[in-house]
Amino acid sequence: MLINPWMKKYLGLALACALGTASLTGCGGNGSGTPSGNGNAGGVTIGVTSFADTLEPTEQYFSWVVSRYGIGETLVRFDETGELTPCLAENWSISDDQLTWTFQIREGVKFSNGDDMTPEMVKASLERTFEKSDRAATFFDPASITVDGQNLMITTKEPVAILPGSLADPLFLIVDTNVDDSTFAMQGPICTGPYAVESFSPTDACVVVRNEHYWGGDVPLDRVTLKCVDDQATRSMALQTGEIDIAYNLKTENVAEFENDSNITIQQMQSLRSTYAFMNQKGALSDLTLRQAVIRGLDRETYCNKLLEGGATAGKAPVPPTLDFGFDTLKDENAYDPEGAKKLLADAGYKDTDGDGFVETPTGEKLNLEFVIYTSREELNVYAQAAQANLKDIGIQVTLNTVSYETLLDMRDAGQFDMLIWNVLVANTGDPEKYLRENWYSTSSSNQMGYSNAEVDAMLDQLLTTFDEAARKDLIIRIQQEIMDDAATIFFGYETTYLFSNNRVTGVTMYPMDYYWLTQDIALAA
Amino acid sequence: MLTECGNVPTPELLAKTRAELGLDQPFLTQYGRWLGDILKGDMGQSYSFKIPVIDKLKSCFFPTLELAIVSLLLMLLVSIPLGILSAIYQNRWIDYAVRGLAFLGVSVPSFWIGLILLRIFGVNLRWVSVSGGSTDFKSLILPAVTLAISMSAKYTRQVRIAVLDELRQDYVAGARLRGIHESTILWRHVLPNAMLPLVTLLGLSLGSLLGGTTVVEIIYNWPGLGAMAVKAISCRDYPLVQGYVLWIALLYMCINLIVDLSYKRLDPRLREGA
Amino acid sequence: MRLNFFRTHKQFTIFALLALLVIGVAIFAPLLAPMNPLEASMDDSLQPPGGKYLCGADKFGRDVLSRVIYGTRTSLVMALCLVAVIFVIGTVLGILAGYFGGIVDGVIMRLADMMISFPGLVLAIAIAGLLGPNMVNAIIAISAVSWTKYARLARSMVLKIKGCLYIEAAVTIGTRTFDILRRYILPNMITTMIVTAATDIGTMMLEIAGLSFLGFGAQAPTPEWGLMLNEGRTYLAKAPWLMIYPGLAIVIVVVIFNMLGDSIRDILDPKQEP
Repeated sequence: MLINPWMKKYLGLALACALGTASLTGCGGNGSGTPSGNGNAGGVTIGVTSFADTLEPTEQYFSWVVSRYGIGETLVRFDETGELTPCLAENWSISDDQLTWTFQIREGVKFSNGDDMTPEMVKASLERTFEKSDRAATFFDPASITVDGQNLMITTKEPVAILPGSLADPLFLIVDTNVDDSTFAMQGPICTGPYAVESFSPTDACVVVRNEHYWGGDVPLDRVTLKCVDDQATRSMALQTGEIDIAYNLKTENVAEFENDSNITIQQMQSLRSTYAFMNQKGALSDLTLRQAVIRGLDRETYCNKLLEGGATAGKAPVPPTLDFGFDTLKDENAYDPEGAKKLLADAGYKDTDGDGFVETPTGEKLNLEFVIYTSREELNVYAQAAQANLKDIGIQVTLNTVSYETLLDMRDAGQFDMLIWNVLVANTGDPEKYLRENWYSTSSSNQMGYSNAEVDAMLDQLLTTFDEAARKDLIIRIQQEIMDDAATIFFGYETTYLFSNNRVTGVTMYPMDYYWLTQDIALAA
Repeated sequence: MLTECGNVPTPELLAKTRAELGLDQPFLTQYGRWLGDILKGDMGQSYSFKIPVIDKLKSCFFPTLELAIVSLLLMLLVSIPLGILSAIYQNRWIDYAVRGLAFLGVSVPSFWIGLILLRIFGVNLRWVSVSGGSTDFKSLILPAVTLAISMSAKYTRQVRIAVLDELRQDYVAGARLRGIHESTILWRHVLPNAMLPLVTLLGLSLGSLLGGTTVVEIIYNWPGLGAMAVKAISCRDYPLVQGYVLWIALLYMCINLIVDLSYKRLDPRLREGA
Repeated sequence: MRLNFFRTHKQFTIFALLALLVIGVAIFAPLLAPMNPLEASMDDSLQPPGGKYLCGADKFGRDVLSRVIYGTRTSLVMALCLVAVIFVIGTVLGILAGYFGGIVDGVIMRLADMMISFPGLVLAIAIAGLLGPNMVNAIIAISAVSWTKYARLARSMVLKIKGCLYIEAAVTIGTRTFDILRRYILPNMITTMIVTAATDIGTMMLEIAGLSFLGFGAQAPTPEWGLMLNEGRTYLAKAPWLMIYPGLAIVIVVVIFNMLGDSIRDILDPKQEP
C-alpha cells in the first residue's frame, strides 16, 4: 500500500519523538518534584484560606487576616487560654463612673517603617478605624478619645463593660496614619507586628518579611509565605508533599491522612466557632410548632460525631460549652426526637395530602423550606445535607441552595430564605454579649430572620451596662434559655479546630481566638 | 459594597455609593463613559479584587497563555503522528487501536481525569505539585496533560479524517500513476493539504483556551482567566465580568483574522483569487 | 431483511442493545438499585465497598451503587431533554435564517456568532448563576450556548436545498411558504440533523456532568454523577470509591452513546467518514 520501509522508519521516528517528549516531560516532573520543602529553606510557608481581597484593615473582616499574618497588633490581646493580656497597651483601668477607660500605651514601640508609635498615633489610628469602618461602632461608640502623657483615655456615653475585649478585635489594630494609607490595600498596612508585608496577591500569596523594628525582641524568620490554598484536600496534600509547613483550617478527615507521618504534629482545640442556621420567621417558619419540629428532627450528635468524625461538638445553645455560660444547665426541650417531631407536626395539622411523602401546611399549601448555604466551608454542606435527609424522614421537604458567600449575604439581607447557615466566632471580644446582640436583638441589622422577643431585648440592654461577672453570666444564661425556648435558631455544632504543622517548624500555637496565626514564636527547628 | 460590612446598608449609604460609582446616571451616559474609558485603556476597578480590571486580566492572562500553549503543543505532538498513522493504516489494528483510544479520550470527562491524575501523581507518587496557585513548571504539568488528553482525542480523529480525505483525491491517484514515490506524495502533497482545515480548528481551540479553561483551572487551582471569570460571576463583580467579555470578544476577532490570513498563505488558490 | 440489517450493521446493533440496556437501567432503577438512593443511614458514613454496600457508602451513608444506578436516570433524562431542546431551537432558527435570509438571517446568525465566541462553560455558569443553580437552569444554560451548531448546520443545508429546481418550481406554482418548509426542505435535511443530534448525546452528558461538578447543575441530594464526583472530591484520599464509580458510569454511558451516534452516522450518512 502506501507505506514503504523508509516511511515506516520516518513515522516511527516521529512517533518516538512524540512519546519521547511526553516521557521527558514526565521525567522533568519527577526530577524537580522532590518533596519535603527543601525549596523554601530559610523561610516558612503557611497554607491558609484567605478571604481578604485587600489588606486594608477597616474593610470587612480583612483586619483579621492582617492580625493572623503577624502584621498588625492591637492594644490588648488574648492569650492561649482566652484571657486578655497586654500588648501595645501595658495596662488599663476604668474610672469610678464606669465611663472612661484608661490605657497606658507601651513605650518604645516602632512601626515597621521605623516611626515611633506615640499615644497620639494610637488615637489617630483608632479614629481612622471608627471613621472608615461602620463595623467599629457595633462594638462601642466613643464620645471622646484623649491623650494624656503616655495614657490614652476612651470615654463613652454609656458604660461599656466589654471595651477592652473589643479593642482586642483586630479591627482596632494600630496602623501608622502618617503614611499614605491608600497603599494599605495592596501593599499592606504599616503596623507594629513581628512581620511586615513584602508582597500581597489576594488569590495567590502574601509574603511577609521580618519587621526589623519589632518592639518585642528578635523575630526568628527572615521571610514567611502565606500561601492561599483554598481547597481543603489540596491543602492537606500540599502539607504531605512538604510544599507548605503549616496548614490552617484542616479538618478531622485530614487527621487520618497523617496518622503515620511522624513529621507532622497535629494540635486540636475546642473552638469558639459555632455553626447555626437562622430560621426566617417571615415565612413558613413563623409557626413555632414547625420550628420546634425542625429542630427536634435533627440528629446533631450524629452529624458531629459520625459525619464530621468528632470535628465538632453537637450544639443546642448559642454559646458553646467551651465558655462557661451554663451550657449543661440549659434546658433543651428541642433535643433530637424524630417521633416527637412527627407528632408535633401531626397535631398541628401538617399532613401529607398529595402523597408525595412530604407534609403540607395546615392550610393545604406545599411546604418546601429553602435552606441557603455557602460553598467555602465543607462542613456546612455536611450539616445541610444531613439536615435535609433527617427532615425528609419526618416529612419536611428541604431544598438546598448553595451559593457563594457574597450571594448568601445578599440573600440574608433581602430575607430570601427559610433557613440560612451561619458560621461565626462566638466571642470575638472574649465575651458572647456582642454575638448575642448582633444575632438576636430584635432591631439588629444582622437579625434578618425577624426574631423579636422583648424579654431578650431587655436583658441584652441590661447586659450592656453590667460589669459584675456573676450577674453577666446569669443574664447570658437567661438570654440563651429564651432563645432556645423560642426555637429561634438551629444550633448545629461547635467546631473543633485543628492545626497541622511540620516538625521543622517550632512554636506553632493554637489560640481560642482565631486572630493569631503567624507569631513571633514560630521558628525553624534547630 | 452592599455587603461590605455584613450589614444592611442605609438608604443614604446606598445613594452615596451609587453616586460614587456613577450608577445614578442615565444608562446611555454610563455606557458612553464606559466606552470612553475603554478607549483610554481604563476598564474600571474590580469590585472584589479592588484593583484595576485591566491589571487583573493581565495577571490572569499569562498563566492561561502558558497553559494554552503547552497543552496545545502536547496535543499536537500526540495527535498528528497518531492521526497520520491511523489514516495510513486505515482499518488495520493500529487504526482500530488509535480510534479506540481517541474514542475513550472524548468520552472521559476532564474533571475525572484531573482528579485521578491528582490522586496518583500528587498524593501517591508525589511527583508533581498539588497545591497549585503558582505557575511554575511543576504545577503546569498536570493541567496541561489533562487538557491535552481530551483535545488529543478530538484532534487525532480530525487529522485522520483530513488525511484520508486527501488520500482519496484524484491528484493522489494521478501522482501514483506517474510513479511518484509514496513517501513524496504523503509528505509533499497530502500532509500540507490535510493540515489546512486543521488550522481553523487550531485557531478556534487556541481562542477557547485563551478564554480560560474553567474546569481544569478550578481543579488544579490554576490562576487563569476561566477560574477568574467564574469567581467574578459568583461575586457579581460586574466591571471584571465586563472586562472579561470585552477580552473574549477581542480575542475572537483576532483569532478569526489570523486564521483567515493564514489560509491565504497556506492555500495558493485563495491567494490567486485575491 | 430485518435480521440482515442487524447483521450488516454489527456495530450499530451492539451499541443499540447496550444503549437500550442503559435506558433499561434508568427505567427500572427502583427494581435494580439495592437501596433507596436518598436513604441516609449516617452510622454507615463512608463505608468502604463490600458487604452491605457493594460500591461503598457516601458521606451520609447512602449506597453509592444505588445512587449510580439512579444517576443514570438523571443523566439520561437531562441529556435527552437538552439534545431535544437544542435540536428543535437550533433547527428552527437555522431554517428561518437560511430560508428568509436578509435581516432575519443577520440577527440570528450574529446572535449565534456571539454565543459561539464565548467560552461555553463560562457562559453557562453565568446563566446558571443568574437563574440559580438547578437542573432545569443547567439545561437552559447549556442550550443557550449549544444551539448555534444546529442553527449553522440547518442554515447551510437550507441554503443548499433552496437553490434546487424543485423549490423554485414549488414557489412558482404558489405553494405556501410553510408547506415548502415542511414538505420539501425539512425532509431533505432532517437525516443529517438527527445524525448530529445522535452523536451529541454523549457530549451533552459530559457538559451536564461538568456543570454539576462545578456546583451549577443538579443539587444535593439528587443522585447525579457530576455532583457525586464533586462530593467525592473532598474525600479523594480517604474514600476513592466515591470518585471511581460515578466516573466509570459516566465514561461507560458516554462511550456507548458516542459509539451509537457514530454507527447511526455510518448508516444514515455513509459519505461522512467517522
